[in-house]
Amino acid sequence: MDNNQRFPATLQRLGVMAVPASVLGLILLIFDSLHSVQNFYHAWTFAFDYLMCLTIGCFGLMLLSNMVRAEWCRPILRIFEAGALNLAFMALCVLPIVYAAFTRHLFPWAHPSTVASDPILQSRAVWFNPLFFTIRNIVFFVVLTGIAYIIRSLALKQDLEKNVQTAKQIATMRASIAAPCFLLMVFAVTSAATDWIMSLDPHWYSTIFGFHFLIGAALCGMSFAVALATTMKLAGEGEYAQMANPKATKDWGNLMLMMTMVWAYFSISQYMIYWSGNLPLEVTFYVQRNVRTLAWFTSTLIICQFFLPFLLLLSSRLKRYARMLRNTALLIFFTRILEVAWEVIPMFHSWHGSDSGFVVQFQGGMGYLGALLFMGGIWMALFVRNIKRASLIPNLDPQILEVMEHAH
Amino acid sequence: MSKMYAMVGEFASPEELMNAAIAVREKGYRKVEAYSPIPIEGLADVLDFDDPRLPWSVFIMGVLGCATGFGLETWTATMNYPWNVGGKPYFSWPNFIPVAYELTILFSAFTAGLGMLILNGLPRLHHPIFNTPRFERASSDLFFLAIEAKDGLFDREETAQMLQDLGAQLVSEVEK
Repeated sequence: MDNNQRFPATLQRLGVMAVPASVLGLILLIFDSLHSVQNFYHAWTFAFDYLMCLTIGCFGLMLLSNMVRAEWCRPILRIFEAGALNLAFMALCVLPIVYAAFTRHLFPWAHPSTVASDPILQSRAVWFNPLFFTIRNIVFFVVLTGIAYIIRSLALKQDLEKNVQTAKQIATMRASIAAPCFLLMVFAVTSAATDWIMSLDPHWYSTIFGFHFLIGAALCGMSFAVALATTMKLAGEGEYAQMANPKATKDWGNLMLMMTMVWAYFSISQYMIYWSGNLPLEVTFYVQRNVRTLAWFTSTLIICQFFLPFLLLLSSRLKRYARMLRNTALLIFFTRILEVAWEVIPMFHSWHGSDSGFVVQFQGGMGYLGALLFMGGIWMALFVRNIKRASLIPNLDPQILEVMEHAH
Repeated sequence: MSKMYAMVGEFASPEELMNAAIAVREKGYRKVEAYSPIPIEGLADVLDFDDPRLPWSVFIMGVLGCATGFGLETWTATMNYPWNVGGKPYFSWPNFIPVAYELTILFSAFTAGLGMLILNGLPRLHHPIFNTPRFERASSDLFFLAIEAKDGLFDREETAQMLQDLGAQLVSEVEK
């Protein structure tokens, strides 16, 4: 749109690097899928769940930014918007998973002989059947993608609006659309996370799962945006050199601190309730994840997703320096990949009743990396394309417009 | 001279106060205090207000609270009065987390509140700054910059002249 500011080289590079990464990923994925088609579905589900986490994170934070009209969201709003628009791409990525609901590759509830011998799955069949699963997925993506496009177009319209009064009206409209949509998103994502991840296990269930997925998504989207914005600030690119000032980075750091604490709160609540109850149906989730190599994995997660970022983000000094905040955001962002892997991949085993854990799966599992690179690469390329379509920093704030008006 | 507390300049706007504070710091004054009815972004940085004592005591007391809660539960459940609950081991640490968490919050919140009062020297019945004319308006619409007499560079005429030059609408000598 406005080309007097040069497009940041960081984003440019990200978009260029995404292409070879996805080609490499595709090769790995095909190579791994040749062993068995099961591998393809497992790898695809893992990559889909992780990128969905990132997309929903951007989507939710975009809605939040539209509701609160705070100063901290202005520099990173376009990042959230561009991520949220990728919901359309994720709708394509869900197709193999929906297809798997009709075959017997992924979900235990889609496997006729398993259901026939399992009274629990039989009584769940009202909800978990291929047709209803497909309908839910269609509704989810149509509604959420629609919301993302509506909010984005309103924000762009307000950006170009010269009349302050009209701009104010659009701002109010954005806020009153975003608030109910945020509520809707919580319900939609709870249902979707249950479909995509929780139902991979035949029996296990958790009522906090949707919230847990959402807070993970928020962490993912926030750390992604903060890592990008601080990197651009450090390189002195575009308006980010001024926009990502200590005041903004402090707010971003505090938000990540809050999300880290909520993540820990939800995680420990779920763990403690199951540990205290000690019922066979519920504890399986943790028992599977506390054997052999996976126990190390679990400990790493607790340290890297809670203790390290929590202690780092407590320091107000760290939040003033873009470099340290960027490194913390990157730590959170990459640990999110580990957590989704930890959550999703052992699910595939619970069905087959194998307790040999993670090692076996990872030896034959270059596909996981491949799927992540392939899908993530395309996601990134589309993300950069979305960002290019509008000015990097929105000019949204009606208060700022007012100040500009008074200055004349 | 010994009864002198500070030279206080009165400013009409936060921008003027901010500019004056920057100029005064650049001249080398260190014992400078600003009074404003609203929080001014960046003023604490300009005045180099960076007291690490409060955040660190909150952190240390938080850790202590966590250790107290966890320690209390460990001691009562495993040593003082071991009791078999649902066949769980005595040292059931996941169940100790809520208490440890609550005490972390309790200790750090109390430390933050009380520490703020203590480090501010509160409660205090009177402060010499209140001898400043029109100082009651520091909580409605005026902005004050005080240069304390303790400052090494302080000079009755020079400091007053400097505040005048910086745009103070009123400069007053404030006694203890």
